[in-house]
Amino acid sequence: MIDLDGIDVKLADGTVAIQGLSWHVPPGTRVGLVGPNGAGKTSLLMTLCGVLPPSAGRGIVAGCNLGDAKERKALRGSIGLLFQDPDDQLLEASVEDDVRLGPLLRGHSETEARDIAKASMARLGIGEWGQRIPQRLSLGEKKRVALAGVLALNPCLLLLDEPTAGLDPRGRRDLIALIGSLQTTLVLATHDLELVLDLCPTVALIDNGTVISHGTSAEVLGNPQLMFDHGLEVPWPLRGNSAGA
Amino acid sequence: MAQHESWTAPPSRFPLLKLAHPTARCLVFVSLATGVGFLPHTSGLLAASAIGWLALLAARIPASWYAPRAMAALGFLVLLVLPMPWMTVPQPNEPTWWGASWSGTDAALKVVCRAWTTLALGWTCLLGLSAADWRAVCADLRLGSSVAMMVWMSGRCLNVLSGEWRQMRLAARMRGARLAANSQSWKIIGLLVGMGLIRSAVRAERMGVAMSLRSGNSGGIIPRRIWNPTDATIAVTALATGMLIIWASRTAWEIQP
Repeated sequence: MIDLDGIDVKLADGTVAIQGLSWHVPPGTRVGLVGPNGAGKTSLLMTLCGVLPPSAGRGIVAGCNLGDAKERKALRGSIGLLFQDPDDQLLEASVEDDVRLGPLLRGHSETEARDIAKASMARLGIGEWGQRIPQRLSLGEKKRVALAGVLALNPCLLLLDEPTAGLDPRGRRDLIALIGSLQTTLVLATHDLELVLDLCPTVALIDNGTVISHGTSAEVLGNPQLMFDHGLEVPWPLRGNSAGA
Repeated sequence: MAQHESWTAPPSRFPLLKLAHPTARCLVFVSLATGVGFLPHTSGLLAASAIGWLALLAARIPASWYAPRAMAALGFLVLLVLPMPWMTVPQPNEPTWWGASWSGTDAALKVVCRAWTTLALGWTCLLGLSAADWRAVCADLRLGSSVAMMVWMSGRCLNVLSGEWRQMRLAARMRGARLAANSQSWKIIGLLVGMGLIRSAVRAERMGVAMSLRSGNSGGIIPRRIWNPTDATIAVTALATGMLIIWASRTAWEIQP
């Protein structure tokens, strides 16, 4: 699904966000992407969904070559990205209109788009919220609506940027259950290491724009020296293991 | 504090116009609002205000939704026109009341009536139009996909700008900033405006990414909605009514004995 080989990504201001990054994610897997602030997680997500072009290296995502502008544009049609701040992607005046917008833009008729939106909302348990105003929802509710909008497009790869940031424990639990029920390939960029342990069998640690370590979640997140060196901490459930190691 | 119902549910949509083509609805608004703009007499404007209010009632838009918004929108206008009766010099032999001229009162009343009628017509005709509808209007007006996107995003950006402005104003107040007639206040306002633009530009960029991910490689083209005879009838009737009002208001009527 994701095959990156030594890619570099430069931002518009010339900053090198990603440098010589190589990463392979097979289809149907759930991978955590962890790293300190400014490590390049969001830039990597933007590259994976074809928004930021790589300046060097070779990258294939969902069968599309990241080096080719046309293929990058086509790639956007098959990737779903859940933003850290849901206000960035809730654009319509009512929840149903917002979920319906994506299918409409993809060329579905009004009726088809409405059916797709209703199915997506029902899947996330928000079928009754159709006429609510997105801007008036709580953060957890907004994230749920944003996810419904993303899932309405049936993406083959789902990228989640800090999905639990700012959520209370119940909102976090609900979102974990939701994400856990998804069958698609998933990349989860987060600082919530317990979430990664819960949901992702494998994890990649990224720092200074490159993948430092990649392996099973317990292996990478349970390495105290590795975590300390890159500004992270061993999550609570693994602390006993690492103390004994 | 419990949230007001109007914040959690959008107002009901006009049952007659709900199914009409969005461009027809825009045409109805533009024609009638233009007609009202040309009405010369206070009596006609008062009647138009009453019709506007009846339209809101027929549209089943709850008073709890439009009343506070009307007060917010018209409150400032009323304050502006309040001195008009006293500032207008009365004509010779013109009756006055408490030092206020009748012509000034008449002019102030006309301004408020025109504003209220335009608001009421706008809410009746345009409430509930979605992003897809606005894009259809732009497509009908041959404005092109990018202009359509710009029109729509500007509406959205106004919300973003106001949200950012509220947050920053609160942050400035919490730090002890108080507006006064001094250079420090102007500096703070300048900072807030500049920072608001920067923050809005950053957010607009993220919204652009969200939009491009949603539209995929389709270019974000929404299928055109076809006009049916009812849409055409509504639009033509509204255009004719608007033109009739303008013609009637420009005609010097003579009453035969």
